[in-house]
Amino acid sequence: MTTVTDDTERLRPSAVTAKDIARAGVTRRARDSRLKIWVGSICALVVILPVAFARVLPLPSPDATDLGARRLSPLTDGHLFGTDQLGRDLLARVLFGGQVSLTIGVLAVVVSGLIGLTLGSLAGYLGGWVDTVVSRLLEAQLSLPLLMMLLLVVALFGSSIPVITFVIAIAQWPEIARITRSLVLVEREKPYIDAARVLGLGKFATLVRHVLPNIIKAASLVVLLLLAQAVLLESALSYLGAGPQRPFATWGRIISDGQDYITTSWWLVTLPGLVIVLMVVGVNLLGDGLRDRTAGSSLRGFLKKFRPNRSGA
Amino acid sequence: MSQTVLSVEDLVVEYPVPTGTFRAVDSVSFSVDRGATVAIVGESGCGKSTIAKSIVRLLTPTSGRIVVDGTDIAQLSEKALRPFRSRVQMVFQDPYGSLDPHLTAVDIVGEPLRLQGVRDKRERAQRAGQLMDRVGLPTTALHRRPVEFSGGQRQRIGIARALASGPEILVCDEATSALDVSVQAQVLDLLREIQKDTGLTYVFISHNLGVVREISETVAVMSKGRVVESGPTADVLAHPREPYTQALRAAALDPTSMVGIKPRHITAKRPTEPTPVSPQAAMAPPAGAAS
Amino acid sequence: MGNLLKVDELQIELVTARGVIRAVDGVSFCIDAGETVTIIGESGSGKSTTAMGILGLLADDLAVSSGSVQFKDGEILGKPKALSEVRGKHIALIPQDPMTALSPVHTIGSQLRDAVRHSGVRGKSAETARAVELLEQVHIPDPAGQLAKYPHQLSGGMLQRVLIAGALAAGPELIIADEPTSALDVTVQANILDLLLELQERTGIGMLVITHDLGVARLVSDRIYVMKDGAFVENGGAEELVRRPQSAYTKKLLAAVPVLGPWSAGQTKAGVRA
Repeated sequence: MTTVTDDTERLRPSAVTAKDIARAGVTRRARDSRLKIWVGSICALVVILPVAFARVLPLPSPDATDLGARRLSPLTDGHLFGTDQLGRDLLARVLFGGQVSLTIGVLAVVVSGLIGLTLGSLAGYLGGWVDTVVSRLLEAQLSLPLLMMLLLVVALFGSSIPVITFVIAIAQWPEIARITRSLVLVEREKPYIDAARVLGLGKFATLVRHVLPNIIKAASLVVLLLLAQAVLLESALSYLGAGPQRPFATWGRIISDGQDYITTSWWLVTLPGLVIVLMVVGVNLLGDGLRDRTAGSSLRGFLKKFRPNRSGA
Repeated sequence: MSQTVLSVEDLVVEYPVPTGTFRAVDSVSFSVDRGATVAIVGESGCGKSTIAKSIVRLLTPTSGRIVVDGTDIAQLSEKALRPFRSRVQMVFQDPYGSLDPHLTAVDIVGEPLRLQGVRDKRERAQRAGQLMDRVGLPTTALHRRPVEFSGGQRQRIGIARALASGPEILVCDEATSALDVSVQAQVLDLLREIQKDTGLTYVFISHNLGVVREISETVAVMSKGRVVESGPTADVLAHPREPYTQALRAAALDPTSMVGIKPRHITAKRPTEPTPVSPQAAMAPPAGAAS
Repeated sequence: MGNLLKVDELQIELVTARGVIRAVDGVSFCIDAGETVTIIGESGSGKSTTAMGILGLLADDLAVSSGSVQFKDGEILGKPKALSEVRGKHIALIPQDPMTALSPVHTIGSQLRDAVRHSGVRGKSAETARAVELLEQVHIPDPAGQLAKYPHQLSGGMLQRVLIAGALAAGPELIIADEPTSALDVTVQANILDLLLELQERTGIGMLVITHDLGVARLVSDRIYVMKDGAFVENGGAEELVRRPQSAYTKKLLAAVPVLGPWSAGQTKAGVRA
């Protein structure tokens, strides 16, 4: 005779302690990702918000020179960041300069994102000669020394804001295209893509309706991380003198203007530099946190903890 | 009275490989009458899935004819093929990969309707609801995403999607192989029911002889790209003539027919496996093969 | 005679993003030497988790195990030191998918030598000799020649034999086979199961088999435990359970298996092939 065990009545107590939950992998990952998102957002916003609202803040004009108040150290006479060698308020310069830097950064990332996503997904989905052409193109570009190439373009076409934006976008599209292509290659092999083709959906329609929506999240994360790189590139170009010309004083220009005084007035170089660091680190942390997000660390999940406990599911 | 709705004649599918070409399907012929089910059974690498993909034109065969209701679709261009797509549909093996994860059930089942010109969203939703009902899923599930369904439920959604086009022929490529045995039985019941109600024709690909016996009247046994034996399912399974079919039959373990504890005699003295893993290896004689 | 393996009220809870899931809800069973016990269940029943839990192979930051697992009267659940003594040497695992269970960048020979080295044999020539001996035990043709091959050059059935050879390296008393034939063709499956039965006849090892296939369970087991939602619902002798199941669930499982019926060889039409 076989033995039938029907233990549905007997309820065994759980052996999981609060300590187990606290040290569980999923808890740690959720906590880490939440921390990164918060810290990253705060760091990035601490820079981005003042820059965005620079016009409404009570700041002196960034171009107002005051030769009687040259190279004042931070926190003197109402100048939070001090003044530069022409008596201009450094904080104002950094914030207004940031508007240019960030605008260029965001525009460049949008343009490179569009180019990279389009070419990368076409290369990954269509394969064949399209893939060959795009892949060789991006490999060729990746093998060129980036800064040299950018300086060359600027030397040829001048350093206006559209040129700088375009140049940085061109610099960044290969990375986005490469990631997009890999994601599309993986997605393309899945049966639901075959199913769409069997239904009679055309190639492009399948790409747009089925492949792209499923990779856009992962691809966008890369684009976000490249925003920081775009800002850094712009700063590098400006520092080397190839950035947008006066009157636009971008971060890189401010640093290069101040480098002669690095030993005597440290704040002229260090403070703008710290602002860049804060923004880049913030955006990178935010990107990391978003990528590592697990089910429990979404904003909705986080807010659930503060809601009164409902009975039932 | 019963007419041939699908006829496959001398189908050949070849793939280029580093050492030349690999013939996955080697001159296969069979036909199916309307409302009937033909099963194609074989082990991995025998070419059955390639035949399935050829019938739904996921790939273009090297040569041969695939005649659907009088028209040979084997070499038609994409454009010429489009009107035939709705006539031949497929149910896929993997319930987890065959549904677009970012779409809801109503979108998935409604897509073929949209392709047929049903522009009104509400009408699509209503017809999708009817199809979901037909496959035994509640209409309240219409707005859920695949991740919220079990494997068996996803497979039902896949069937509903295939039915939405109003096909005459349904190719089931290992449609129940990834399901638990009790769920498999339910899905097979559903397929039989639908066939009885609508007169749909099935081409059922499987490696499982028991499933083949349940679902088909005719079976073709394949090995290494060729049909080894074919005929009425009951006959072929009860009295297999070819050694390969006999080997398959002997290896199929039927729990209810075994006697005694650990009846090793059932499995003893089997030939060692003949099929190597890669097509390239299939071209060369297997190293050190015992028989 | 004491049991080889004695599992008592094993409970495994997993801490996941969706909360605490009780994958195994108090299972108890035992295995004697020379005996094969099979746990059969559908997906999500907890059968694989049970096997992994017994061997302590579940991630520390995921699973909380309670209850008792005794190997030859020594407790091993939750005791890393006792587990490392027993794992590989006294209890061996044949993992699920042979195609992915071996490292693709190392040869068969080097991976088998690793297994052999773990059992105490030292020195390259001694390790190689033992590896060849093991491959002979699992009836691999041209064993010496196979040592230099990479996993992708072997078929699924051959890889499974290599995995079995690796499991046998240290001469274990108990083998846990997790879905040993699910990824294999049906003719290959028959050969592998025959091999396992032969090994048991020859060496008297105990076996714990995890499977969802009732045919496999009926063939290889002395006793079968039917698992559903983390708990056993019925258990008994293999013949008894299949012939006279009592619980509704077991009956449902058996009813769902497609019936093939009896068969006999038909007459070959001379020279005619379809």
